[in-house]
Amino acid sequence: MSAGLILGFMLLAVLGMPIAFALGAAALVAVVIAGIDLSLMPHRMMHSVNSFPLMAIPFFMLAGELMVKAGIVERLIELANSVVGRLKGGLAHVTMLSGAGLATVSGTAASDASALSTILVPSLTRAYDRGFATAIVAAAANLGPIIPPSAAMIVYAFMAGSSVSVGGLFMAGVVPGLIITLGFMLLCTWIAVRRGWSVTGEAFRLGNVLRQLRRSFIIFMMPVVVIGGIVGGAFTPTEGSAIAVVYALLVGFLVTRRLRVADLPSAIVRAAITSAMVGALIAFASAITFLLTVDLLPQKLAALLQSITSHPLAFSLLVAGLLVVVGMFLESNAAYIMLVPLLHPIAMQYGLDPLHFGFLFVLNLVIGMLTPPVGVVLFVVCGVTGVPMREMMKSVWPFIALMYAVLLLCMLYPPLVTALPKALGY
Amino acid sequence: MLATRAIGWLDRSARLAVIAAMSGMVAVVSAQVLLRYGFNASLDWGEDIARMLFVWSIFLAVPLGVKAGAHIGIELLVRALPDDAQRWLTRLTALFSTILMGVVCAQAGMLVLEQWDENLPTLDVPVALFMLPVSIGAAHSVLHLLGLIASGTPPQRGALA
Repeated sequence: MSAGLILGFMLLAVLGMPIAFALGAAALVAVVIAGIDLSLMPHRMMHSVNSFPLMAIPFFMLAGELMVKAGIVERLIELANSVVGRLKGGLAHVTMLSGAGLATVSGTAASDASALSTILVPSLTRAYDRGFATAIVAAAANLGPIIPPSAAMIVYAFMAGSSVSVGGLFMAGVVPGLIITLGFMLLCTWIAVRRGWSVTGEAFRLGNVLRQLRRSFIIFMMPVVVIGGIVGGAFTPTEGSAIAVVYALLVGFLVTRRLRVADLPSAIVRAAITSAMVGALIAFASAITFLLTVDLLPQKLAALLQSITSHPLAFSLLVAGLLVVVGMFLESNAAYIMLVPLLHPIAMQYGLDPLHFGFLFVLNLVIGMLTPPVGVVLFVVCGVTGVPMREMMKSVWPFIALMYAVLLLCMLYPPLVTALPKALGY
Repeated sequence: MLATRAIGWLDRSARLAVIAAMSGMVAVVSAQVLLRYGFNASLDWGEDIARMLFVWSIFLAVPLGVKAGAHIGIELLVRALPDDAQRWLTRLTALFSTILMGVVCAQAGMLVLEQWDENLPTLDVPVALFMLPVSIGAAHSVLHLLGLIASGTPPQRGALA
């Protein structure tokens, strides 16, 4: 049944059916063929969404929307421009630093992609070709779920159970997130030098940097409160994400004074629709997970993998290969719902560190958000800017390759991932 | 014409309900933190009501996502086909989605009726209120999907933005 289910899903997806509905239709056919009660469908759908930890997804989406309306993202961009604007490929560097800064206050790549595309792409397309302009925005937005806070890590930890703590996963993402940011900036410099782009950004003046830092201070207190609160155990990740919304509201109304009550309904509806897109995927994917479990796929998969290798690194490489393919065809949250319950217990049998395996899993699927044909970040950036995906893809490959290189580095040298969380007692 | 106006009214109602549900979620969850640290108190029903509002916000926003073309899919192959073939493929996949959502709507509706007399322990409301939005959202999605079958033209992806 499992093979038929997966093939049926892929056929419907290739025909252009939305991924969520393709998952649901494949599950429905399997339920009918297996003679299972049809009420399984709404049962699984409702119970998969009826989860307190998953509420972090709409909260982080909403916080992202509010940060755009509140002018928070503009302040981050002005700060980045004052620091790196004068480097070769200055605007690209500003985009990367803004993406990293936004990642510390937001938890999803989709909301970051929407925010950065809306604000930065008009200036970027004046300096670079449209493909490169959108590619750097997509790459910068993909830092969102790697640098804490991260809704993806919350979903992973929720699906993996008690062996993985959200705070530990958050801390695991810090060093690789910084390495990827630095790598992106070096890549932008190399491309700028090779293409002979002239220096365009603002000259570096210490006084200006300090002034921008002072203006952004209140924004950088947000990760201190949100991440600090979650890691320090003051509140749960979901509560932390709700605090992020309240913080963005307070900054927007009281500090930047750019937010208006009239902005709130559209921000909420946009966040709700993006969350519903993810929610529908999770709902239908959970029906598939149930059917795969009934078909004993976890046990069959564990036996197959153990017959291939007993070496933990070889297992990690096999999983990474699988996730590269999965990341191309499946939205990441649906992949967490379907695959974490299958693969996390097997990884524990191989003796892998739960935080190390969890972070590699998340990073791999985050990269998948940049790979066609199904890449959420690509969809958002193309949707906002109107640039065809094919045009963007030509320029986005070097960033994808760099992220896979960092993934391999983290796999081969685990302390890059585990040293910080272990030092903090995770 | 009447059908268009009815769907427009439904969309506006769904938007209002989603705004109310999301605002309620933020208010309840952040109030829990404030009460815990500010007043050393908590709302016994806080998590239940927040989860219920979450379920409502997700399933009521699914049809709004159908309307806005927000549900992601693989478009590379479809876009390579001639216009007529694209329209028929859109109709075919919308038909499959309609059948799926129709089944979900009917099954969820039956579960709502079965569970209506059973109340939540923390709140004096039926457990069925968790399942109700699944049925309503699926029914609303069916209406938009039928429109898609009729037109054969998927909504522009930028509609949400």
